[in-house]
Amino acid sequence: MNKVKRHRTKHNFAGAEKNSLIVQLLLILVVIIVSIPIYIVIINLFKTTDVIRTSPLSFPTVFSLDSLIYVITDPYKNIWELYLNSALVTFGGTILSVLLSSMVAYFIARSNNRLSNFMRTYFMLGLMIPYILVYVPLALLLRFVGLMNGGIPVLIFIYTSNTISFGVFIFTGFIRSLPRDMEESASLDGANIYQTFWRIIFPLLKPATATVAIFVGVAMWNDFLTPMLLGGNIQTITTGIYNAIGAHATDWARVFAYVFMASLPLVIAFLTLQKQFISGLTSGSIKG
Amino acid sequence: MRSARMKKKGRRRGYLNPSFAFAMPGTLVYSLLLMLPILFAFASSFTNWNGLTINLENLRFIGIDNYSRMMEDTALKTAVGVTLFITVVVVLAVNILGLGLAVILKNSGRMTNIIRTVFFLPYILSSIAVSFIWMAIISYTGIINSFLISIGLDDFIINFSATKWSSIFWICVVEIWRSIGFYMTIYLAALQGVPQELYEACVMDGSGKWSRFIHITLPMIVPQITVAFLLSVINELRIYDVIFVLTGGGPGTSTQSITYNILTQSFVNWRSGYASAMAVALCVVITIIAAVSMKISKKLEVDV
Repeated sequence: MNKVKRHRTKHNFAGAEKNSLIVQLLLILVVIIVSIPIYIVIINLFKTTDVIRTSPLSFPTVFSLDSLIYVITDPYKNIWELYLNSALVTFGGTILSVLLSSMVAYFIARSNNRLSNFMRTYFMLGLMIPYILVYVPLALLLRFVGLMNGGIPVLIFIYTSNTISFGVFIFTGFIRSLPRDMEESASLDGANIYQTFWRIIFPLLKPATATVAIFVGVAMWNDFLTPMLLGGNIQTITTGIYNAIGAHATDWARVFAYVFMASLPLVIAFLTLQKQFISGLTSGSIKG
Repeated sequence: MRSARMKKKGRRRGYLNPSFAFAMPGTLVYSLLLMLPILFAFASSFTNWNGLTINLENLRFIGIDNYSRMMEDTALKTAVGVTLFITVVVVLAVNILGLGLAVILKNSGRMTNIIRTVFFLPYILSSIAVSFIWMAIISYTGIINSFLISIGLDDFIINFSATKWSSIFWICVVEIWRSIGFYMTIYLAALQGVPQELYEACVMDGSGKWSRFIHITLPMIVPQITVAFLLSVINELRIYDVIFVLTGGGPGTSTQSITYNILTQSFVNWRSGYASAMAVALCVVITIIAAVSMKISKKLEVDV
């Protein structure tokens, strides 16, 4: 009796069924194929290009740190400066974008008037327009006001301008879902609107802030076109490694070392905060 | 009556509404650095602007000439063909394979999360880094050829950038590798959101795995399919970085994408008015695709 019952429940629980052995092996095979490029980068990081030529897929027999040391100490391309530029642009842009977009969203979500309705549509436009339209006129504008070599602050403001729509969209939805009780009691306690926002609302936005920050931060760190076309003489990690490697590279040991160094910070962040990264990037783009 | 109104009024005074001052800084940055250039680009798409300076003597209003010229632009035609081909291949691959992998992965027990991380990792890397990894793998002197030579299969070495179609094939491979984990993750989350009871009822009816997938799973995840489809279409229509690094648009100009063409026209040939017209057209196409697929999705959606 007991046996029959258990059998049935197991059978009924259709969604939790296990893969057959063949399907599972197939999946593992696909995982191996997908990981091969990563495997290639890591094993070849510790070889010289000559060794890569003769044994490209095997583990290194002699560990050589030449290419990594070259990349770290390259006098023509200071990787620490690239890191610093990318970090400043990414953190600056992310923080500014989060602050400004959450404030705009607070206005849109909580003031129900014609202006706030218009603002909602106005910021929505930025989500639909391909950014490629912007480069040429923006380059002209920057030249016109003498900020083409404005460096990091200019890049921070540019990134803020093109990510703010996304932030407004996510934050508006989130603020609308918050009950107004706390704002009420805050104003009864005599808090003004700024205190209400910064002390009460903004801390409550944490989940939305995480989504926005990860989504826009990853995009800023990885972006290539904006620093290339509008960055002036500022090089970020992406344009930096592009210039360091060049379009006709054949020194693979160095290519792998550059790619590894360029990706390392974000990969470490991703592996330590996997859940937040995956949910931030996927739910962010679904909602956006 | 009076007291009721008082009460209502009192409630409304219970909280303060933020003033426009809150939206001010964001609106300023957004308007100045994004909307103003876009307006400018739109306006310049009706002119012969060169993108370098505004010289009123040479600047002419040419109506829709830029738009009608697109029809006869052979370079643009090639770019549209290349972009559409890549888009179709990559969109089909990442959505079908991504959904298939998600279905398998959902039932993988403890391994699900580890495998998801492995698949997702390439999506975190910058497209420049991804392109260089693959360049090292598929170049003439790269990993694949070195391996083939080392095991004596010299006859099979590849030269990916020699022809247009082998270039496009490898561009598709790189794009699929880079983004499949992302779409798979969207589908995995969608599948995990389908209520178990639906399957249980279906098992009672004695329907098989395949029919359960067609009749329950697919209709339930229509919204996520739409989103994944749209995102992949939009991303591939704008493809640039991978082509820029891997082929540089070559051989010749045969693998230039639409975005590549627009950037070449604006920053190499300095025909910004024309480039803006192309970008506006691309924007219109993307909006139409989005609107149509939203409509189709609404029709297919089921209420539960």
